[in-house]
Formats: sequence, C-alpha cells, structure tokens
Amino acid sequence: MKLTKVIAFLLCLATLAGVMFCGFVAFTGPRFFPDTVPTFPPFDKLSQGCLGLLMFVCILPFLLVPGGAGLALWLFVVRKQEAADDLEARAAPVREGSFQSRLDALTTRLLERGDDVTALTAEIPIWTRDLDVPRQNRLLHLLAECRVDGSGCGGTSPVTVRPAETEWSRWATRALDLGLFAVATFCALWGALVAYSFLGSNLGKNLPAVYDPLAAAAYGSGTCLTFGLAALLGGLVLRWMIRREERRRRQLAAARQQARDLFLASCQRRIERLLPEGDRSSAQTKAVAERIARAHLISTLPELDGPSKGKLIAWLHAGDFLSRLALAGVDLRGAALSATDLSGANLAGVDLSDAILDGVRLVQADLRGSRLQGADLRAADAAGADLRDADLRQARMHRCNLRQADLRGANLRGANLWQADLTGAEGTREISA
Amino acid sequence: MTPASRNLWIELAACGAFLIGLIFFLVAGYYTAMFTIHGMLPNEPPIQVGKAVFGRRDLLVAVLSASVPGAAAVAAAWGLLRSLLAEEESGDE
Repeated sequence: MKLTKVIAFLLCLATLAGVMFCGFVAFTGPRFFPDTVPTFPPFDKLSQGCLGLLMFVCILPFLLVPGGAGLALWLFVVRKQEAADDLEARAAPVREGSFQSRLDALTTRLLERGDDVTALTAEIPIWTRDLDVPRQNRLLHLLAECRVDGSGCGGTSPVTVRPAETEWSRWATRALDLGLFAVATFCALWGALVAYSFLGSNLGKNLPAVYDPLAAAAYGSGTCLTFGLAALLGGLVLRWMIRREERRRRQLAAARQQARDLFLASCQRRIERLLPEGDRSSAQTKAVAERIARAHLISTLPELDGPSKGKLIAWLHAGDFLSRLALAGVDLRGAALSATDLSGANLAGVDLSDAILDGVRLVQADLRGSRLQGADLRAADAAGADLRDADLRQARMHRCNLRQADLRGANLRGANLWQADLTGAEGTREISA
Repeated sequence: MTPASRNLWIELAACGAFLIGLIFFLVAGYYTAMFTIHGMLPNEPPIQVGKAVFGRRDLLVAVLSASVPGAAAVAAAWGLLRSLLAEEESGDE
C-alpha cells in the first residue's frame, strides 16, 4: 500500500478519534461533573446540553483539519495515482499488441535488407514514432543487436527511471492493522478496569464527596472505550483497505502478466518464423535470420521475469533452437528452470546468476564459461556436463549429481557441495574440502 | 534502510517491548507479594490508600493495572517477532 494512502488514512482516523473523544467529553462531562460547569455569564444561563454542544462546536474545526487534509490527499493524490496505474495496466496488453505488430513488420524489413542494414538508420524515426520511451528503447536495443546504428536518432531520451514511490510494505500495513485491534482491546480492558476500580473496590472512596462513583466510573471507562471504539473502527477500515488493495494488486498483476505472455508468445512466434524446421535457404540468409532471432531474444529477455525466462529457455531447448542461437553473454539472471530438462543444451557463456535450477537436468550440457554465481542447483543432475571455467561462486549444489562432469578451471569458492556426487569428475583436486 | 537493518530495529523493538512487559509484571507481582506478606504478619494495621482501605479487590485493581499493560507489551513483542518470521517464510517460498 502506498505511503500516501496510509498517511491519508491515519489523518482521517485522528479526526475520527478526536471527534468521538471530544464529543463524549463535551456532552457527558457537564452532566457527570456539574460543579465543573462555569458559573459566570453568559455560560451560567446555558443548560448542560447546550454547554456541551457549544464546547463541541468550538473545538470541532480544529479536529476537522487533519481529516480534511487526509480527505484532500485521498481525493487529489491517491485516487489519481490509482486511476493512472489502473489505466496503464489495462492498456498494457493493447499497447503491447500493437508494438508486437510493429516488431513483426520490422523483422520482415530486416530480413529484406539482409546484411545491408545501413539504410535502416534513416527509417528509425518512422519505426519509433508514437512509441513510449521504454518501447522505443526496446526497439532501439533490437536494432543495435542487428547492427543498425540508432545512436544518432533524435527524440529518444534515455530511460529515466522514475523513483518508485515509497511502498509501505505489506508487513507494516498488517502490523498497523493488528496494532489498532490491539489498542482497541487494551482500551476495552482498561475501561472495564476503571469501571471496576470505581464501583467494585474501595478506591472510589478517594474521590471528593461531590462526585458520584457511578458517574466517575461511567466517565472514566467511557473515555477509554471511546478511543477503543475509534481504534476498532480504524482497524476494520484498514482491513477493508488491505483487502481492496490485494484485489487491485491481483488484477493489475494479471493485466501485466497478460502483456508479458503476449510479449513472450510473439517472441516465440517470431523465432519460429525466422528459424523454421528444415530450412533450405542459403547460408547467408540463415545467418541473417539467426542474427535477427538472437537480437529478438536478447531484447526480449530483460523484459521478462524469472519464470518467463525459464519458460522461454525451456521452449528454445525443446524446439532445438539453442544450438542455432549463440547465447554467450545473454542475461538469464534469476531464470526459474526448476526440474526442467536441459540435457545437452548449449548454454556456454550464459549468465545464470541467481537462477533457480533445483532439480534441473543438465546431463551433458555445455556450460563452459557460464556464470552460475549464487544459483540454486540443489539436486540438479549435471552428469557429464561441461563446466569448465564456469563461475559457481556461492552456488547451492547440495546433492547435485556431478558424475563425470568437467570442472576444470571452475570457480567453486563458497559453493555448497554438501552430499554432491563428484565421482569421476575432472578438476576436483582443486576443490577444497 | 535495508531489510537487514529494518529487521534489526524490529527485533530491538520487540526486545524492548518484552522488557517493558516484564517490568509491568514485576510490579504486579510486587503488589501481590507485599499484600500477601502483609496479610501473614500478625497484628499489622490495615493498608490505607488515601481514605480507602486497601483490600483484596483493590489489590486486584492494582495488579490488573500493571499486568494488562504488561500483557499488551508482551503481546506486541510476540506479534512483531511472529510477523518477522512469517515474512521470512513467505520470502523463502
């Protein structure tokens, strides 16, 4: 939940608690403690009810100030932000769809040009017209990978990452909610204790004679219960806000996921089109197609989250595209590939830092020079894998099967090899116990 | 503030809340102990608080006055630590 929303809520709650408390004091104080009522004109002519109302009306404007500020914050800031976020998320699939159509047309154009792409530099403003900055940069990234020089292209400002607004963590919001319920419980118990102390124990006798113990008990416990009631209402409202926020977050995540799925499906479709099975075109055409396919892959990966990256790689391996696309240097950090079969995959030079590879099958896979720093390789089957010069620092490799694997030159500093099977593995002499 | 330093502050707050709760419980225990010991002494005058004689009901009020805030403080400490644990578990998933 955004911090502005929480601040607006707290301001409104402060007003509610203040109004309830002052209302209680103003209307019950003169009744319970008549000797505290002023006896000088013009107040001496007023009834207790009128006096209470007068007191309440005088203090009410001050109490409404924080509530007014909270409401204004809600109406003019929070609602605008939510509407903008909702609009952006809902428009994402539509915008992504039209952007993918543009990429399809650009792919066709790149195939037509073949190796001679210098003329495309002049067309860049046409291709980037009406695109938002992130999509312009994605398109320019794709063109750069296809060796089209877009550096002199005007109108494309560098991506300025808007600093994310402070997100009041879910934990803190729930803690605030529980805290309000706890305060309500405490106030209820304390109010009961105050009533009992005045009515049930001898301590009430310490009051001045003019005070009625029953009135004092009612007044004392009433003030506690008023705060307790305000805290309870605040807690209930906050819980409702949390549930609404969760629902909204799920809807926005679903919309973003839909855009991401569209993006992923379009990339797969384009790669299938560029690298068809049984392709009989010339070697030069194939090289151009492979370069364009690799460019699409490289420009797509930064936009994907871990599970989507994992899906894409699994699909590329299943379709035998990995052997045709040189993935050296490709960023697959954080890819989720749990229990995926990547036997024989060519992943040489790939950056798989912090990837989730538990239970993955990497039998005979080529992982030369790959970066697997911090990767989760628990129970992975990498029998016979080529891990020469791989960076496996801090990798978690419990119960990993590394039989006959080639670990020469691999950096295993800090790697956890508890119960890993290194039978017949090469390069194990350098591994410290 | 990094998550690690935030968690440290939360743990410190939980420890502080627990200690405050403990102090309140000690005060409640002190009242009970003093009243019990006073009751066991022969020919001692009754305990007077202002105009009121301090009896069992007044002791109950005094003990509850100390132990309810103490219980609240301990509950707060428990809640803080429990929510940290829940956050760690959800992070591990």
